[in-house]
Amino acid sequence: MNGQATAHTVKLARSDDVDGFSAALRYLLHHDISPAQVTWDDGTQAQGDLFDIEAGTVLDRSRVETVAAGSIRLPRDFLTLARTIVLHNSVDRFRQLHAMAALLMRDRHAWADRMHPALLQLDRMAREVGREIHKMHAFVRFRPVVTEEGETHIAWFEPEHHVVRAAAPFFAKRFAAMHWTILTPLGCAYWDRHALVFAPPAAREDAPEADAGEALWLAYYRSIFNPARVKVDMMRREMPVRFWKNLPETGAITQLLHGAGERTYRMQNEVDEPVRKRKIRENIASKNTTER
Amino acid sequence: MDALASFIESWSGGPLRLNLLLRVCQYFCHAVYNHSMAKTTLDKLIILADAAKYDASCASSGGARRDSRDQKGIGSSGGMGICHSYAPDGRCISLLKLLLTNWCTFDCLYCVNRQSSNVERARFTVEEVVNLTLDFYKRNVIEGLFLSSGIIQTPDYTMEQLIEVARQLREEDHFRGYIHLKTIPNASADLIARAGLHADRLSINVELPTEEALIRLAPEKDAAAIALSMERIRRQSDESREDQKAERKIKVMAGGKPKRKVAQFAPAGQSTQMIIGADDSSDRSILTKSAALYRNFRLRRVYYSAFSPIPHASAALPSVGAPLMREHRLYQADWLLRFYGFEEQELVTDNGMLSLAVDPKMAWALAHPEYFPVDINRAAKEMLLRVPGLGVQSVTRLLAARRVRRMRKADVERLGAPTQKVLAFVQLPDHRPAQDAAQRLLLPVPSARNTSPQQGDLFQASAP
Ligand code: SF4
Repeated sequence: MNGQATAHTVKLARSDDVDGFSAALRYLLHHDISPAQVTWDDGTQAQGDLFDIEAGTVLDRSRVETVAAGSIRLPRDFLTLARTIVLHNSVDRFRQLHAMAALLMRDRHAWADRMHPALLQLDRMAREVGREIHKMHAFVRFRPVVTEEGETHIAWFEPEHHVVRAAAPFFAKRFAAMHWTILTPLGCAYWDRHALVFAPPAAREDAPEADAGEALWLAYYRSIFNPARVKVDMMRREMPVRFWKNLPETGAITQLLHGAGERTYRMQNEVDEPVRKRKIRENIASKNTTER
Repeated sequence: MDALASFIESWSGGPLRLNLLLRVCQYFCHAVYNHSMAKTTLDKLIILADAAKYDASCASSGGARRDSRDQKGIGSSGGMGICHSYAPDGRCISLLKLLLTNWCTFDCLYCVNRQSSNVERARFTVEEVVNLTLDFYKRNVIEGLFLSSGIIQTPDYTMEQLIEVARQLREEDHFRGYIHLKTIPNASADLIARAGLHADRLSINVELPTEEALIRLAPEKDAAAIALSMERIRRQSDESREDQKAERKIKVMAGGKPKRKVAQFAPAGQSTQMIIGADDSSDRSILTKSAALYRNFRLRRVYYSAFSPIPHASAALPSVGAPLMREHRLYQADWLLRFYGFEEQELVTDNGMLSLAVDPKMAWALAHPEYFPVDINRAAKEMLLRVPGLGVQSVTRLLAARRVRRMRKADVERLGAPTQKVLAFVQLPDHRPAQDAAQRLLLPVPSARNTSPQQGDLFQASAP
């Protein structure tokens, strides 16, 4: 911005306001407003950034919806990609998408160039969002809580991108008969067996502590680890450290790694088969080798 | 009890006959021990998860498409698999992997549960496994259950027990998550058919690459019986697929609903596992075996498990594990066979082994300089796939983009693939690799990204 007021400010309802973004994009393209003229306000900007806004035209939802859906033609794949990228945490994402759309309006063939730097960048962002949704499906940890109304399951999760709404339907299908809540600092999701409800962010303190039953899962995690094949890099790559604080089992990792060397040593050196049987086998084995 | 065993042993002295007595006595003691000190579910879980960890498979993809929106039960499946956690051994934890019991009447030398092992024994009840599965599932730490078992009483009896767990989960608790059942070798055809109705995946381990090794290390197992079981599974799933096709046809013709939906037999197919390094089979014979398994039984996956020393090992086994790198290279080679159009003969060196130093694709490229450099703007897809560092995704992208314009060096640099590696094998309008570019890649460069041999880019680029 640098003191130079932009001409238009798009107001989105939320950081993941996919429909609002689509409508605004349509409006901007229809009126030929260039990406440099637009400030995007998804409600997360600091006050200072919003100072300039007063100067420009504020485009809220009612304003942008004056351009009918379908009046602007863009490749369907681009629109799908855009819906994902809106969920990214980059503050520049709206501008990047707008710029790409403007490019496509001028030159349809740009979409076919899969190696276009801007497109590669967007693809990367979409992959990051997709991965975050996948990781949310994987790493949400429900803890059972019994209330007067019965049992409910509550989880605390910290996503990096705005994926709560996008990830929630998966849980609704999987745990349709359960009551559950996912609390996150970027917004919460509730399922009461009828509808998905989204709510403002929560704090970690709102989530329950471990219950007694969690010990079984922790025991399983410790038992399934094979100390003879430590591959910490692989674990870190697939389960990035930023998730660890909310995954109870990761508390065991240090101890498991610490004991791995000794356990492996014991495995390699303990032969505790009944001595007699072992002797016989050794005889057979040595005969076998001499015969060869 | 161990003290008693060693007492009897020292007392029994010479004759072989007494050895039998010792075993009987040991069994008795075990049984008494197990009854007198009732184990909690937690105790059993620790023993029976530990016993199950030598099975590498934890895949949960490809199951039937199901969810629980009808609110009758719990769970969903059918998408790509989800790894809910990772152990410090780098393995994905997707399923609750358990043995129903680690008592076993077989004596496979490489196995911690073999009859002659002194490992602590336990046995779950059917309900315990069902409850653990449901409890873990509700915590969202698993996609489902992978249940296997030591062989108790008879193979059929053991198989029935496994099926009963799956049946209860499916029919009584309406569990819609993923179920993988291990098929007990020699179990009857009828039981396999029933198992496949509840399970998404069935597997039976070939264990060792050759029949001789199997005879030597797993005397009670029978290669022919294992093949027969695989054949049965394949036939069942073929038939079930035919039935479904027929059903669809009827639906189209009549324009209405079918009376009864034919359940698909083991929709995620079958898989197997081979132990690497417990015998002296070469990588060539291992890969040849895999290729035959994929072809003959339409396996979804062959898992390779580097023989790792087990507690209470038999003295007839190597006491040191096979290098994990060998296992890793086999996975890479297997991947190249299935998705990159390589033949097993091309990948191994003259001594029948894969290179441990470089990944198999790189090794092939270094051995065949006559094919390089590859022209990125002209080469056929098959050839692009053979360029070290280029994965399926990169190749698809390049093929699409070169229809629009010529690719240049800067494009390769933007791919996100290991640039130096790729550039050593390709030519572009503004790039030709130096004569020794490929060889130079092998020099140790401490600052290079790929110094860790654990990180073959092949998997990073294209693993599911
Ligand atoms: S059959 Fe062999 S491999 Fe299976 S549990 Fe028994 S001893 Fe182990």
